[in-house]
This record gives sequence, structure tokens and C-alpha cells, in this order.
Amino acid sequence: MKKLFEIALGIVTSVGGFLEIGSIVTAAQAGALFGFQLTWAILLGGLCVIFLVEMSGRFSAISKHTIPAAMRERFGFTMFTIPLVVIGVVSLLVLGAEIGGACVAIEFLTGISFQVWAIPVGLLVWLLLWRGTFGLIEKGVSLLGLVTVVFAVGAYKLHPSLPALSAGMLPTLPRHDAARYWFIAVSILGASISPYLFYFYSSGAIEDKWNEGYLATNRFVAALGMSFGSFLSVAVLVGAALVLLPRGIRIDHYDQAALMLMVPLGRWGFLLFAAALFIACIGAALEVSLEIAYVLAQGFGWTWGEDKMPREEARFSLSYTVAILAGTLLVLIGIDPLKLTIFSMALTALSLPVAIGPFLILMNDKRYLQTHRNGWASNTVVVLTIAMAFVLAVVTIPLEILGS
Amino acid sequence: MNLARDLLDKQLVDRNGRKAGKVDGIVLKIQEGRPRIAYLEVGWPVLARRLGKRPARWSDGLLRHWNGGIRTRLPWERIESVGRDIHLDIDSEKSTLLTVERWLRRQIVRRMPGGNHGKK
Repeated sequence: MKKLFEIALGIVTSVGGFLEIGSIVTAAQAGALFGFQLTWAILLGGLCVIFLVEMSGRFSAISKHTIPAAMRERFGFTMFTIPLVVIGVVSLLVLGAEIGGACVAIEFLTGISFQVWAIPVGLLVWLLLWRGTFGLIEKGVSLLGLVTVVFAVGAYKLHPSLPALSAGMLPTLPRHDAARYWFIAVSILGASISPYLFYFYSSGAIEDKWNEGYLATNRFVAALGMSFGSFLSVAVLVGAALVLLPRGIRIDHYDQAALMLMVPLGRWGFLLFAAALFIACIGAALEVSLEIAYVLAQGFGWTWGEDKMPREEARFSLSYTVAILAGTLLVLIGIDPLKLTIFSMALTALSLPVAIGPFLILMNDKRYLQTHRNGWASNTVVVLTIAMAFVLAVVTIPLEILGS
Repeated sequence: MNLARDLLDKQLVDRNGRKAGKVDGIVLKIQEGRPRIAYLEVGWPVLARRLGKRPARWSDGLLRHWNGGIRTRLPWERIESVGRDIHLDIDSEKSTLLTVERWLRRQIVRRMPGGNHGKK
């Protein structure tokens, strides 16, 4: 019975963590500019992340190691500094985007500029980590995160043509604006395959003391949780495709995106859009801050854990504190949250080989996984998706920077 | 024992089960003509040396300023077991392993709201 409850909770947690500002913005842009055509990118990213999350759970349950700790052990400290720095920098930018997204949600409701809210939001995120426990954060954010289901409701009420939507599930070449098309595809992949998701998941598996008996639960949670997250991303794309595209609205500002819920749901749509945005971003901000602290603490061997007091783990607690400060600063100085989001998602895609390559090697290492090493399917899906994301990123990011 | 594979960069756990950093360096000595482990080294100056000459010089200077240049060394005799983690027969709270942790705890965490508290 307890396992069943844990499964349900795990799925809910995954959903709460999956849909955040990156997924929302990239899916909305895709829908507003290319209709259903980029649905395949969301599905591909979703498939890859299902494999990655399952792998990270399996890795922690069998090897009893967290990913950063194992990476340093296996590759040595000097090599470890490369993924450490890359993940650190990209995660900080993503954290800034999440905090910025939450501030923008409040700007929707109050009309007061997002910059003003940077410090209160940063403080909220910090307080939740400083005073909260892992269980409370995980469960609280996940339950609240269910508000993002409103995107599915909105999409449903717009009556998307299912044949048209299915056509978008297969990759097709764009009829216009090819550079933009592939750049958004890259951003979608970067938003879906966020390393913080499974670094966080692996730490959770260790904190919950998973073992071999949890492998089936792990597969279930990974598959269902991430699938539901992808489903919601597709719902955002559908909403944008059916509301924004016909009106020729290219999302230059966040309030334009809110229309996708206001058309099907009226005045409530606006409120729910702001609420969903706020909760999704706060949840992601908590996870990314913790992930930065986890990677540092686990890489350097410090005590870590959300259930401990800050004074028992000064270095860990101060790590996420400094991370949140940095993220808040990014928003405070006025960087456009929309641009920051899109940029950090594309950068994530670019950094995937460094962030995931070592992990993939570990997943095939007998010393850590004995008989539970990766099968050909896991390896193939992940390698191909990451290779594709990287190549596309290298080509499209410079074009996008030059174009804007 | 393969030193790099089984010792280096592994997690240290003290006698109370507390995490106490990682094995950042290994110092060998020659005894009766054969190499033996003298002690394990832990700490950021040791890591800096692994990164290169300039980081090493920079961190050596910082270390001298911080505590006069004392490095954290764990005699091999104090190692209880080597497995998934390296278990020590030392109380890390009373050793130099947690100097930075204790300093941060006193100077920063204690002064923050809720830093000194009982339960979470």
C-alpha cells in the first residue's frame, strides 16, 4: 500500500517538476509560430527524459551513489570540474529564468513591474528551502503544481483537430523561417531534457533510501510522470496554435501568451495562467537551487540533505543561498525573463553532451550497476537525442543571435 | 589495491556516520624499499594542486593566510575500512576535516534567521 502511495506521489512530483517556464515558453512559441508542426520535438524530448529519469533512479537505487559523487569518483576531480562548471553556469541561468517567471506572474496580477518582485520571490524560495523539509517541499509543490492541468483543460475546450495534431507528431520540414523552426526545436529539447530534473531525482532516491526493490516503482514513476509532463507541454502548444497563431501573435511579451487560456476559459483563464506560471516557476526554482547545492555538496563530499538543519550542513545550505542570490540578481538587474528563458533553454541543449555524457558512461559501468546496466534502447535513445540537440544547437544558436 | 580506483575521490565517513569530505590526495612513503600509504590528504588546497601550478600557488598562499599553512592529513592507521566509502576512526567534528564547515556555521549560519534553531 505504501508503495502505491509512493508511486502516486512520485508521478505527481514529476509532473510538478516538469512543466515550468522553459517548457511553457518554448511550447507556446512553437504553437504560435508553427502550429502543430513542432509537436514531435516535445515528444522526442519527453521520451529522452523518461529514459534519463529512469536511469538516474536506477543508478541511485543500485549503486547507492548520487550522480555527481559517482562522476567524481569515476573520472577524478580534475575531469569532474568540467561538468561541474558547465552545469553550474547553465543552472544559474535557468534559476534566473524561473525566478523571473514567478515575478512576471505576479506582474500579471498586480500590474507592478517584475523587477520589484525579484527580492520577495527570491526570499520566498530561500525560506522554503531554509525552513522546509524535503518531503514538505516535494509534496507541497507537486500538489499545487496540479494547477498546470488547466492548460490541458484549455486545450480540450478549443477542440483541436486530432488528425492535424497527429500529423505534427512526425518531424516535418518547415515551410517558412527554417532557422527559427530549428532554434525553437532546440529550445524545446533543452527545456525537456533539463539535467537538473534527474540530478534532483537521483538525490531524492538516495534521501528516500531506494534499493533494488524500487526499480519497478522507478520505471513507473519515470514513465508516467514525464509522460504527463509532456502531455501538458503539448497542451500548451495546442493552446498557442489555436489561439495565437490565427491572430498572428508572436510571443514577444508574456501577457500575449495568457490569451491561450483566456479564449477557452474567459476571465478565469487569466487568473489561472498567472497561478500556473507562478507555481510552476517556484517549484522549478526550488529544484534548481537544490540541484546546484547537491552537485557541489555531493562532488566535494559535504553533508547534504533537505531534512537536516542549515547549521548541520553549512556549506550545502550556503550553496543554495548563494545560488538563489545570483538568480535573484539576474532578475533584479532587469534582464528580460522571456529572453533569459529562451536563451537558457538553448544553452541547456548545447551543454547536454557534457552534462549527460559522463552519466551515460556510468550507466554502463559494471562497478556501479552490476547486472542493472543500460540496455541498448536506453543508450541509443539518449545518445541520438543528445547528439541531435547538440548539433542543432551549434548551428541555430549563432544564427538566432545574429538574427536578433 | 588500485589507489586511484579504490581510494582517490571516494567519500570519507567518520566514526559517527557523518560525511567528512572526499579523499582529495594520497601521500605515499617508501618503507623497506616498497611504497606504502603514509596518509590521505583532504581539503581545497590539495584539490587546487591537482588543477595546475597556478591554482596551487594561489591556494597555498590563501592557506597560509587562513591557518598558517596546515593541511588536513589522515594517517593511514586511522582508516577503518575501504568499501563503497572510506570509514575513519575519527570524530570529524573534532578534527580539521570540518574547519571550513565550522567557520561558516559560526560566522554566517548562526547569524541568519532560523540558523540556530531546534527542529525544522
